[in-house]
Amino acid sequence: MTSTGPPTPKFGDANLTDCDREPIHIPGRVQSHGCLLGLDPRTLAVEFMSENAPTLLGLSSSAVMGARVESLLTGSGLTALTELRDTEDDTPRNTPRRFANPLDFQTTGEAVEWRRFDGIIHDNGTSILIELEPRQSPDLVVREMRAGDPWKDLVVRAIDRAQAAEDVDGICEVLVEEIHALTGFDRVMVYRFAPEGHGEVCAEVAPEGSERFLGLRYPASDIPVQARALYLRKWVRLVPDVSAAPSALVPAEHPRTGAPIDLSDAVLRAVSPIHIEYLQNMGVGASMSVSLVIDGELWGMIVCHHGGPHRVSYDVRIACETLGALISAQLGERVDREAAEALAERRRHLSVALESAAAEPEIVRALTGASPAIRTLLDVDSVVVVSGDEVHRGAHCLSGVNYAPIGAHVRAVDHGEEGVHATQCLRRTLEPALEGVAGLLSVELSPDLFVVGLRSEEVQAVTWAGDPNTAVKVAGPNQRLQPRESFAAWKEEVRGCARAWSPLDLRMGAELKMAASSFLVRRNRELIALSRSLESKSKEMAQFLYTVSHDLRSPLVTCQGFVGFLRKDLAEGRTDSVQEDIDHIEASVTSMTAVLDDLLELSRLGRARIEQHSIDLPDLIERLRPVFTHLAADTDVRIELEEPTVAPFADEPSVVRVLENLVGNAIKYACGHEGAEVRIRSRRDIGGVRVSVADDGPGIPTEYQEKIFGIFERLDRSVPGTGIGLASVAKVAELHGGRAGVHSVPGEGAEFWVHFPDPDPSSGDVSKTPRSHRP
Amino acid sequence: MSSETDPYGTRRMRLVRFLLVEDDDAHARLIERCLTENRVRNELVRLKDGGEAFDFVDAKGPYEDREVPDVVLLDLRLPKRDGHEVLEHMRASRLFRNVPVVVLTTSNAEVDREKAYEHQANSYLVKPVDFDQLNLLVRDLSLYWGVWNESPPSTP
Repeated sequence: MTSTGPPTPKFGDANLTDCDREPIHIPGRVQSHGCLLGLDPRTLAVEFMSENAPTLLGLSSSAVMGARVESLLTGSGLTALTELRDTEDDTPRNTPRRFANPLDFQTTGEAVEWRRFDGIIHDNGTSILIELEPRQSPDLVVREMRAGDPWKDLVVRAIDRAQAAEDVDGICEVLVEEIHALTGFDRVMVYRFAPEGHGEVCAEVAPEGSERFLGLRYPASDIPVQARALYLRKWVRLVPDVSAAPSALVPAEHPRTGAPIDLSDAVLRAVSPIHIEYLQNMGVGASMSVSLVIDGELWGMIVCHHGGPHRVSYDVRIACETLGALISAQLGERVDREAAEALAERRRHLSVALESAAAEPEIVRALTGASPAIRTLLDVDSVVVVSGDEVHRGAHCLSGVNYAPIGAHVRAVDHGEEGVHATQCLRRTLEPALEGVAGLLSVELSPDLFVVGLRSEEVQAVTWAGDPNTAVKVAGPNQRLQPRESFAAWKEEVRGCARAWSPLDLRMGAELKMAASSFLVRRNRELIALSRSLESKSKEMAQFLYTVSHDLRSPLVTCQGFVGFLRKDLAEGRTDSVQEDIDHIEASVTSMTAVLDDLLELSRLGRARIEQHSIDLPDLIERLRPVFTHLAADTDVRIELEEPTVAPFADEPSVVRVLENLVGNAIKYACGHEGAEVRIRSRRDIGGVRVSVADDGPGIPTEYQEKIFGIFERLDRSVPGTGIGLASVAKVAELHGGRAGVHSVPGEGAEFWVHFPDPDPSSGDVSKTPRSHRP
Repeated sequence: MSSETDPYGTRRMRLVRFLLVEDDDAHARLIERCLTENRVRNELVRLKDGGEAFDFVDAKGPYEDREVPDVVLLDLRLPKRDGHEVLEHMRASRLFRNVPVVVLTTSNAEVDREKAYEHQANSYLVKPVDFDQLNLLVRDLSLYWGVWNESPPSTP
């Protein structure tokens, strides 16, 4: 698949990769609302610390550096650490140890006054790091879990509300409301990443009368790549005081390794100065963010802002992280469900398109006929079909527009392996530009057959938070990276492009190609079968014409011959021959007329529409009595119906024709003897019903039994008739998908039969594929 | 045709024995009358279908005492056995193997012509629809095959 989008705004002189390269995991500083102690894992002695640690602990600097932890702190956290040291052996560790944070710490001994901390311990592979955050004190406001608001109930309520939400945006609204209630931040937003990397605020809770950020778009560089990577590792980040100066680590390099100290997993890790400046420019005093992770990818973030400093306790942060994780799961499920519903809806249109195409044998007409469904399937404004050098208009094409350049474009462009090509801004690449068409999605069905969906231009208004062209710049006396100063809404209008192609649009293009391919293969097979059937029909026709031309020429020879003799006889006065001449001429004309009538009849049979139903044979025979009486006119032939009968599933006029022919034949050929009898039968046969007419005449010699169904084939020319009767009977059998034949032992009569197949239970009617009349 | 200047002379006195295998009574009558019209001295045996023809070749039934004709006039579209089968049967029989067979039919189909010659018909004639042509054809064929043509010697 190949896809091109609109041009992205330029980011001034500095660009994304400059931000990406900043090493934010080794800042060498921590946020100063807490302090950090780095312990040697073997001795649990302090080997490095943040500069503010002694002050926060109420000790002198020399008392802290190098001291064992138990001389500085007590509490359950200490127990966890000492247990570790005392049971540990010297074998190298493969994975960092984990601790159940937060742990309880208090200062000991020489502290000026008693202090309590939340301690967060983690192992960064070289040292054990303890981060201490002071709990409540008179001059410190820390937002903690509200006593009257049990955590369990909060979670249940939030999940229920998310479940009841109508869509993804609804779930995000639940999130911002719950987090706002839990943390007390002024402004809580859900920030969602788009596939291109930029983000949009899709839910927001903000103070009354303040500026709204909902719907604003932020360039991708606002959250650089390495930050996003860290956000997948640690799901909560807090900057409780944007303007507080961070505290440096001493020593700056690790005393044992000499390398910068890795603070990737430290909650107090100081954030990038660029980010601090960014927040300050935005007028934010404190910030917290919680990752929303779906299927292991950063889908978005909950972003909290406060006008001034605002601290929330570790417990609250964990609660936010947990809530974020739980709701993420629901988000993930809802996102998947919405995607599945959208896919199912599109696939419905694909079925409709294929169904409508199946009815039409010619492929281009089939596709243009199906183009209304294709239009909905691909979510486009109009559809054209490109076949060879021609461009055929489909659904909603504009009159007066020449779509020929589309043909040249799709033939020239690479459709990749999946056979789909999409472009959002056709006008920039197409020469000459096509009026009203900006987006193109082309599906290559074969190298010279394309289905192309077109979208008209849509002016897209995007409101950026600040001018995205100057999101980051290099400025100032030190020529360092600086974020933009203004976040005032900056409206951008993108012209000359259509709405972007979604992954679903492209996928439906690929599915259309696959479905059409199998459809084309099947169509091909049908055409081959049709061609073979036509060939055999053509042969049948040739045979028929041969037979007919002979059987008309013969009476003509007679006619002309005796006309000639008539002239001669009259000229030479041979009056006694004249009568014979005239008789022969008359007979030949009668014969020709009969042949023509029968031909007409046979052709009508061939084109006849038959209506099959269950035939009540006894009733039919009764109604045919007058006909039989007429056929048997001068004879005393008895015509009887043998009971019981089985009802055949057939067309009534056809059955009448068969009975008239067979009974007529029997009377003509087989009833010359005394007490001649013709019996009509209808018996169950395998797969159908056999209707037959039996006589007790001389029978038919075996060598002629196959031939006699041939058209105009006669066994005995002394009997009047054209010989078309049995051919009609065979034709009737063919039309019903059945067979006709004769059973006869010479000297013991003959039974002529027609087999009418049973109706097909699944389709409700009989298959009409013609089969040979030979049994 | 005047009797004084008949170029065929005494040859006309020869009696030609025809075997006509023709199912259409009217056509058979036409041929007979044409022969009479053209004063061809002939003995004509008429058979009406392929079955009778087979029996005649095999000297069966009513044809036990049949004589081998000088020339056979054979229609192709016959009931019971068609003309091709009859021809084949004749060529397979000791007595009829060399007898001249002239196919006389309404069919001009290539497949019929091919088949007839395959089975060693001596000649293939298509019955004309025009009376004068029919007349001439019967006269010419009977003079050629009956008067000019020397029949094969009778096989013992």
